[in-house]
Amino acid sequence: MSAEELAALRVELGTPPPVGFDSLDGTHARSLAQALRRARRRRASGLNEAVEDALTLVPALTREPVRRMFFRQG
Amino acid sequence: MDTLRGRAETLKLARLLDVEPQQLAFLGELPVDDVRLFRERVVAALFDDDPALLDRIAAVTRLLPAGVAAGIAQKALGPRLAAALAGCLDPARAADIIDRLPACFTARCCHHVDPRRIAGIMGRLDDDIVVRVALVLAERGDHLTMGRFVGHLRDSALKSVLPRLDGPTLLRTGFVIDHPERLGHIVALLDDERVSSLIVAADDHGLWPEALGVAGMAGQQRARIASLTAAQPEARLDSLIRVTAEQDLWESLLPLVSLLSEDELRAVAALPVLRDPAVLGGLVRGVVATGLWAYLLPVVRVLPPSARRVVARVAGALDDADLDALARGVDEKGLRELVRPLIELMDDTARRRLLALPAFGARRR
Repeated sequence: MSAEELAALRVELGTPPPVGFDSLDGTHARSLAQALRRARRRRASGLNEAVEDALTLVPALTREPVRRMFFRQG
Repeated sequence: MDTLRGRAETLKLARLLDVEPQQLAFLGELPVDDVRLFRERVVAALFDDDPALLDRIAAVTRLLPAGVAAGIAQKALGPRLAAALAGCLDPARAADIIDRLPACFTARCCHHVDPRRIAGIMGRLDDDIVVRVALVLAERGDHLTMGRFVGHLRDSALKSVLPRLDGPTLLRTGFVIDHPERLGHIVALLDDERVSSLIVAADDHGLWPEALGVAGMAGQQRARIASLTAAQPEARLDSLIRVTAEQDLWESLLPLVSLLSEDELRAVAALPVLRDPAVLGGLVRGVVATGLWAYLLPVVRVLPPSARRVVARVAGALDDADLDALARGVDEKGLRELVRPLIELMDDTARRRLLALPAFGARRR
């Protein structure tokens, strides 16, 4: 795999892949990085959707303050 | 064994990434320990960047009585969010809430739980809920999730749940167990009759690879499994060997065969399938690829003469590099006495080639 493909996989993984993965060809390395990126996005969006679904059970008047409390930045 | 471990690792990683295992078939070419390491890093990549809002929800959950939190988890949060929260809570608190949830809901959560959090939570759950959740997972055919959990079960829970799981479930779950070092202990909890029934299930359900994988990871129970397998009817052993040959799983089968007693070994060697030149040819080539001569030669010793001649012919036709590997393997493992009868069955050309190799012949002369 090229340095570029290794870097892409490393970005998604947050750490270098194991040494044996150096022998992966570029197509497979890209495919792994892409699958991991999708899985991370799916997990994040799934959790956000679950929170939004849960908020529908909060009384309408208090929903926004609760949302702001949970979703506040920092 | 690495082929089967590689398959199990691919299944686990495919589940984590939510892709079809066939899409990751290329991982079979990589060292299996590197694939396992990669999977562990994927777990960290997926679960360590959970949003901060989970911590905030967890903080609120800590203020609620466990029963109320369980009600909210079930009615409002859903399995995905509840599982993510379980990873943020103190394991004792998570277990306290899980104890109050219906088994079917907990089973749906299990799939989403951070695998690294499982040990802490499982150790605190009552056996009753563990068994009920395991049965729901089995009903759903979720063997990969069961494989994450089963290594953490206490004996009391295992003794309660194992008799209630069917053979295919046990084989499929054992194949993907996350803590294979526990498998020997788990198999030890099964009596001979149950282990034999698993061997029958492997044949009936096309699960020989899973059974070989489980047997290979069963530590001190491997010899018992090998012996109980050797006691099976000829047709069943024939099926095992044919699947092994078709999928080139000799590296998994031969180490088990090597654990058999002399009588068991002779009974296996007499199987009609081991006179099939295609099977024997594949066996020799498989051994060449894996270097498992120390496992093969004791079997060859007790094969019928016609089968021994086939092995000698295939071995004699190996190219120089493979023949050299054979000679070095035999030399290193001190197997010259075992290989001599095989050499005598080779034709003159093959015999001269082998004896001329530095690793074998030069020192022999």
